[in-house]
Amino acid sequence: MLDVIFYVIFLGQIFLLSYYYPWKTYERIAYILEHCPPSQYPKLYPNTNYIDPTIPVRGLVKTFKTINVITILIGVGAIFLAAINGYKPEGHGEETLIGLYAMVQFIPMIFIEIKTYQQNKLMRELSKSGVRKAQLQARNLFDYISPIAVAAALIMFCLVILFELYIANFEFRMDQKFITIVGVGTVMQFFFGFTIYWAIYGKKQDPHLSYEDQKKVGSIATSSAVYTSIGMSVFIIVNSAVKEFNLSYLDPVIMSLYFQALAFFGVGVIFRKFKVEDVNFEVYKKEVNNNI
Amino acid sequence: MEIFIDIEDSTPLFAQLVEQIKQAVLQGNISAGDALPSIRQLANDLELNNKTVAKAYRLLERDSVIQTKGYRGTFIHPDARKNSSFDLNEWARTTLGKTINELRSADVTDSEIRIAFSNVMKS
Repeated sequence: MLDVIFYVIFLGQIFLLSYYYPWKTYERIAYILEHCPPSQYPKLYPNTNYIDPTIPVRGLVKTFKTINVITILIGVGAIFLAAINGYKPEGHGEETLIGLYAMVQFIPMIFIEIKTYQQNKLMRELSKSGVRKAQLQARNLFDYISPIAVAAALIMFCLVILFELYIANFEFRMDQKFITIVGVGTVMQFFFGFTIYWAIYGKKQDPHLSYEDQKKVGSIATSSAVYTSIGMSVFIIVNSAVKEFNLSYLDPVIMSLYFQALAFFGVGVIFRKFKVEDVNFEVYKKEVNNNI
Repeated sequence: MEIFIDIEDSTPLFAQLVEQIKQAVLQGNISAGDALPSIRQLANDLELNNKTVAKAYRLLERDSVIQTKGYRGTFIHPDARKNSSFDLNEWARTTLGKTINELRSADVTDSEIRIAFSNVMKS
């Protein structure tokens, strides 16, 4: 029974990370290419090295699709091989392979992120002007995320430490496991904190983005960091529990579910909170010189 | 409410900030008790040095247009509207102008006025 559940969950991982979210990303890019042509929205296409500025975008989409297809083939191939060999999850290190595969699945998303960063940088260089503007409005963490979610993330991290102490019968031992979990956990919490700080107070990545859209982007980054933090804490607790109660055969399933949850909260939030139809693309239009 | 800074303008950046915030208060775009962005936030948004924004905030605080409430942040002063219409620089110019005219009418030379002014400033 467990092997069937594992196959279904692993197929879910392939579907979610290599098909569903990539397809949503592709739809988003296709929408922009269709509704915002370079002739009307030149600021959206800062790469002026091409006669048709959509060429680098189309090239990017092609690479993105190719990597995802290859990833799907690897995943389905692995399932096929596992099935014909009668594989059953036993937790003898297969979870590492699932984790590595999930990381490979995230590569196209990271690739898109890097390209977006480069595009924004180009936009900033092209839009440098003597006049700079800002909103005279204080931005606070709780404008971006509910206090309950932040409290939940902090409580969950405290629970991680408490659970580790519970496993050790509340005998405080600075052993390698405890230091790794608490140390890495703390570093990660600081990293999430920095991500949130940067999203709220950091420099605007896209210089043309309207203030409302900028707030949405900040809200997404904040939610993503907070929910990832919660997910990571849950994962650490579940992982420790599995090892403590000799349930290692559940490791591959848990690992797969963990990465799906990461994608759901980290990537899915973009599609749920920031629909492409709601973006104010007017800011990318050519400026009309009224002085003429 | 949006503010604009022209880095090519001859007016110092901190003075542009002070003027725009005072104008925003006078026009009712921001009112008493409203929270202002932190120095770091505004400096980041306007791509300015933190010290420039800090200087503008210091001058606005001196003029009782804004008030800093410790870690809670910076807010518009309850008397900001009244205080924004009072131009301290203009007042200093007028007062100094009157004094200089008085001295000139008493046949004190410009050079003597400069030396006296410099001595008073140093003391």
